[in-house]
Amino acid sequence: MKKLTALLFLVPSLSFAQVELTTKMFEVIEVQKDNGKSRIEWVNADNIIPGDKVGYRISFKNNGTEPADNIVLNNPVPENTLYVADSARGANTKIEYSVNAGNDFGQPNELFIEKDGKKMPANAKDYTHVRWTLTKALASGESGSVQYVVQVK
Amino acid sequence: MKLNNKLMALAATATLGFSSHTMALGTVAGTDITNAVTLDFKVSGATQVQLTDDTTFRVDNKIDMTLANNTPAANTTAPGATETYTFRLVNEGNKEQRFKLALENTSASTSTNITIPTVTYAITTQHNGTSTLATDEITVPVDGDVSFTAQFTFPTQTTAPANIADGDTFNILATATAIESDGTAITADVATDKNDAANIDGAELNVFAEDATTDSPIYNGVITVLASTDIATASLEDGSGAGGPGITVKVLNDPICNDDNTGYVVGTVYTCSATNAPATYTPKAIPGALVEYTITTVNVSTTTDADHLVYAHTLPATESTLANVAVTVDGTAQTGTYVYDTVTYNVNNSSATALQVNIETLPATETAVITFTAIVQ
Repeated sequence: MKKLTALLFLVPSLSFAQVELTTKMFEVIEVQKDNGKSRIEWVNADNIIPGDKVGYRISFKNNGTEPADNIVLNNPVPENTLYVADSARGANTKIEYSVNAGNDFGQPNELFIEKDGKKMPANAKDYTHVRWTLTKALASGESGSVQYVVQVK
Repeated sequence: MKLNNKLMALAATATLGFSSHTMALGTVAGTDITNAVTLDFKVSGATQVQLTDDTTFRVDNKIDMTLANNTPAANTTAPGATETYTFRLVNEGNKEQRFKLALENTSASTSTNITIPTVTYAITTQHNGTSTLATDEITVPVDGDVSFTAQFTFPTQTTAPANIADGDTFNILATATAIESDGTAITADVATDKNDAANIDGAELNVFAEDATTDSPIYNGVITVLASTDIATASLEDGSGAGGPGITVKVLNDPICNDDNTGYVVGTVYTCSATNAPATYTPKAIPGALVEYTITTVNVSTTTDADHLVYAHTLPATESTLANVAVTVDGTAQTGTYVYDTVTYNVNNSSATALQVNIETLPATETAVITFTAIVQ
């Protein structure tokens, strides 16, 4: 898993924030329980084929000494996948979506697409981006995560 | 094993609404899918350099197909007939796939004796591809389907009773097995962790996920479909349940009873004259006796007529003067000629020493009776 770390210095202040960003993927499966019910599990993926659901868990941590604020995570829905409705999660975040390649974001009921010349409400499969905006600063040493699920076309 | 969980989920698609299997085609195997996320933030009001992170996995090869029997329903056949079975193979996987086709006789009745001769496969239609069918292997492109026919001729009945019985159901099991492009067997990759850094961008894996059906209940890259054909054939018995025609003989007259054979009536024993024998005398099979043969054939099939029955019988040296040939089918006298396969046949083409009777048709459930007389030497 690729991990990128940014070490950022602020000038002229000597304070700094070292934020670490990592992404981990899982396969999302529905498992039958003995009582006849089922539950969704995120598991390591042996393989991924069309129709499978893939979950992305994106973690971030402030390793610096200063708080990081105005944190915004922007995630284009990968090509050859579809966003799975209501799958985006993130504590203390405002979750918004885009249906126009990230030019505009909004809540699901604010999103529209044009089809056959008609403006129609967008659905989850139309989403091109997911955006999480943290509603509070990430203090030094603090971490968090967001997640969402796509289905392979 | 997680794969099993996945396959269970595939099987449960219809009831759980887990839509994985409803996507028949999908992203082509080998495609890399990358998730790239960015993180923007500020520190003390100052915008920082954007962070990025991405992760990629490779779409694996879903080996998935359907095989349908498109042979007309309620197909019936008869011995000697040539039947064409039509099947439609659809590659519902996400990669061009080669398949090996096979047919097997799985009949549970006497039709198990039917040996499938060399089958001719022929493509009748194909969609979105240029596959050709050489012998029993075929390559079907992504999103491709191929309809093909398998044709063979049912054997004729060589003995009575034959090894093909009226009312039997002939079952032919068509099988399509996914194989590698070089014809070798495919091994499913079931335990390679896609999340492992060493495998995540590695070569695509093979996953068996063909439609599970009653005929193909497991996921193993093999799919089957059953085609059934009802066999309708005339079945001949002697009227007492024994196979084939039956022949009986009856002495109607002898020189002691009555030395005059005129006035012959089918099946009727002569009244002996008082001058030669008492009225209680029963004719015996002595030299000069008039004997009557009766050949009885019942077509016990309830559905299928028997066509062009040919009877032949040569008198033994101990008999002569074959005469009084009479033919009935279901009580109706058969005479004259008829045409069968452009050839004209005499119903009665017998001579004084040999019987040859030709019956055009013995309908289902009906009885043919042939009588003739001879003189004991």
